[in-house]
Amino acid sequence: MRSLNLLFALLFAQAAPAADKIVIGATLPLTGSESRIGGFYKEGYDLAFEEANKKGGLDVGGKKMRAELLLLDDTSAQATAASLADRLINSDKVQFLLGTYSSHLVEAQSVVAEQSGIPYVNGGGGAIDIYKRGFKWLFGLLAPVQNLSGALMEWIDSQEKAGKLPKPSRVAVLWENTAHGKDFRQGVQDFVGKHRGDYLIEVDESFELNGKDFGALLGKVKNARVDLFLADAHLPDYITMQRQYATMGLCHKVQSYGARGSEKQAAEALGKENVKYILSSVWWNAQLGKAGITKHFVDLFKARYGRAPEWYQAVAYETARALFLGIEQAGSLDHEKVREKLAALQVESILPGGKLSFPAQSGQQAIYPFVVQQNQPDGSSPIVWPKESAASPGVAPNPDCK
Amino acid sequence: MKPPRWFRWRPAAIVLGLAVALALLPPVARISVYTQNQLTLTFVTIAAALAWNWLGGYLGQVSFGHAALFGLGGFVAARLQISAHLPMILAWTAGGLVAGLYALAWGHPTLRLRGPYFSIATIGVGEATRLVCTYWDWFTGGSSGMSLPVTAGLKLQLYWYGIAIALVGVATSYWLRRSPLGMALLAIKSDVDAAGDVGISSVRLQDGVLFLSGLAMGICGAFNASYYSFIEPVETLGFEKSISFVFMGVIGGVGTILGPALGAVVFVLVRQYFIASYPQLYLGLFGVLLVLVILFEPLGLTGLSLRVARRFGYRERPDLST
Repeated sequence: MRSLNLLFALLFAQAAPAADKIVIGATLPLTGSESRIGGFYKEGYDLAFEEANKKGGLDVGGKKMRAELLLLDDTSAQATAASLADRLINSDKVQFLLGTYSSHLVEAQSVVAEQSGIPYVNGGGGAIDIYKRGFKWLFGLLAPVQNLSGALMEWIDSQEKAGKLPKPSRVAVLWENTAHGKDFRQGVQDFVGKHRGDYLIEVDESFELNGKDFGALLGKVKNARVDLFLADAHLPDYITMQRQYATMGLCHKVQSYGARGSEKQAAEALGKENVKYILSSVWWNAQLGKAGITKHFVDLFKARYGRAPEWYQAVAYETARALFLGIEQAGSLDHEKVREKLAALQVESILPGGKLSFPAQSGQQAIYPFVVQQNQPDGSSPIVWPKESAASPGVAPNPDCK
Repeated sequence: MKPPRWFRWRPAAIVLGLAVALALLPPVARISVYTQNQLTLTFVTIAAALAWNWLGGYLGQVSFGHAALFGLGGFVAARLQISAHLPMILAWTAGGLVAGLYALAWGHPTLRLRGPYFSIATIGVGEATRLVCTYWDWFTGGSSGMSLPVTAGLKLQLYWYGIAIALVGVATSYWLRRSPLGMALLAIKSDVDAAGDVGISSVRLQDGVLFLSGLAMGICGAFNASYYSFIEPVETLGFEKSISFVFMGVIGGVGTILGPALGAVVFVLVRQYFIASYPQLYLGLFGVLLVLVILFEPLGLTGLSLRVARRFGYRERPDLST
């Protein structure tokens, strides 16, 4: 049945990788609801590959090999992300896989890598459920989302202790009905549980991913007269919800959308006035790039794209770099050897904390501190937490609220 | 024992022979893993397209909500495997039965509606099911869905199970179309009141076909969850999924025995090709294809192949027109 194989090969396959190059497969949501972020991740991946190839390629056991990225568009759909991973591994015969963006896509796609026994390094899945499945071939660079909301709450707590916020503060927690959202909510609940009497959760509601209308949800928040508005949303939902928030004339002493808030695209879509003082807790910030490899990355990115990177590009760049380091340390393209080196990786990193590893106890999900940033009226988003990295103390309560 | 009068040995032997040949492909011809996986997906899609056709084609009740049955079967089977550690095949059967019963629950009242009214009702059922499953967090895992255990060698097993499911789908289609029961279904499709006048119980038969369609859809959904080791509500129960079954029927030939199976083959191959190379084009392409088929070849690929066959002198027997 060679003809059948040939038919499928003609329809779907690329040429087999040459001996002097390493073909690394990846999918990203370049169209669909997550397309903006998919584009950011592509920039990070491209930069990492260009940088590696400018140096002559990866050093694999003393031999320089060019790294080639075979990137497909998973259209922000889970089944497509999984199907394309199958194609990349079993038809295009890529040697390694880089992950897609967003937890729900990574959760579906990582299954294919696990079934095929191929190292899968992703910078798009932060939900801890992904790493609780005991997968051997899965490595994640996004620190747990639970810690994201924990970092937000730490800054809020510092403001409350300074007497800038009421005690107890009344809280609304709105979370997308995904593993990502559940982790966010858990982080807030854990913090509130440890600080009994300081916070009261008055609204605790979930919403559907890629929602079209959040009017009813926001109405509930309005009626509850809360002080802190803490939502966890992906970029499209953040933009939709914040637009409706502004239209309804809502204002809270502290407002956050989890990891979203500082994106330039959102400020352009919503207007600078409507994103003022929004707090976000992220995996990276360009202000960390004052020295060392972080500065090198920021300079490289600015030279290539003519603007400062956001956390998306930084994590994507670091994801590709982590895989490259694993391959170089293994000195081989053997999947098992590269997997072992990735599992034991301990390297300097551009991520907060300056170190990258994939601890076995967290299911090979990297653990490092988040940085909290806050949008300012001048359009900047300085780091406000942790104190040692802070460029500004931050503003609370929101002075615009009457 | 003599086979029933409507049974024909020749097509049965051809289909069975093809199934045996396909089953032998992985061990004998050593097809690539990717080819094997694509064929597996094609088999289960064939079965699902045929199951949709039993209602949409044979009874003329076009459903835009069959993803609800496909997804529900998948979620029930996945939950039973994860929480009750039920063996895969038993979980699939349970998923199919629940989907069949669920189909009856909304289908019994709505099947009184005919034409576009029934179709509109099924859109509502599909969307409502998707929303309930999205928020029924402890059962479905919410928007993120559920992961099933990853088992070594499962994909090869699924390849063979896929052939068996497609085979049962084809056999059931043949039986429903050619048996006296099939004649009764055709009568209901043509004129439900007239069928009642000649003693055909349209309510009982329609309910039976809907249950059968739901059962098969549920099993296909359960199979799909096992194939991906993952299931989530947004895509599995989405409107796009429901439309895909209609599309396969129309492309292949609504109401024919093998048409939807051909439509499923085209759908899987074209989708896989375009989604990787031109992801922004594939939906548009399907749309154009659909318009062309409806305008120029209402019997789809089946009609086209019959027309070509006639050009070469083939004359079908009156009862083999489809």
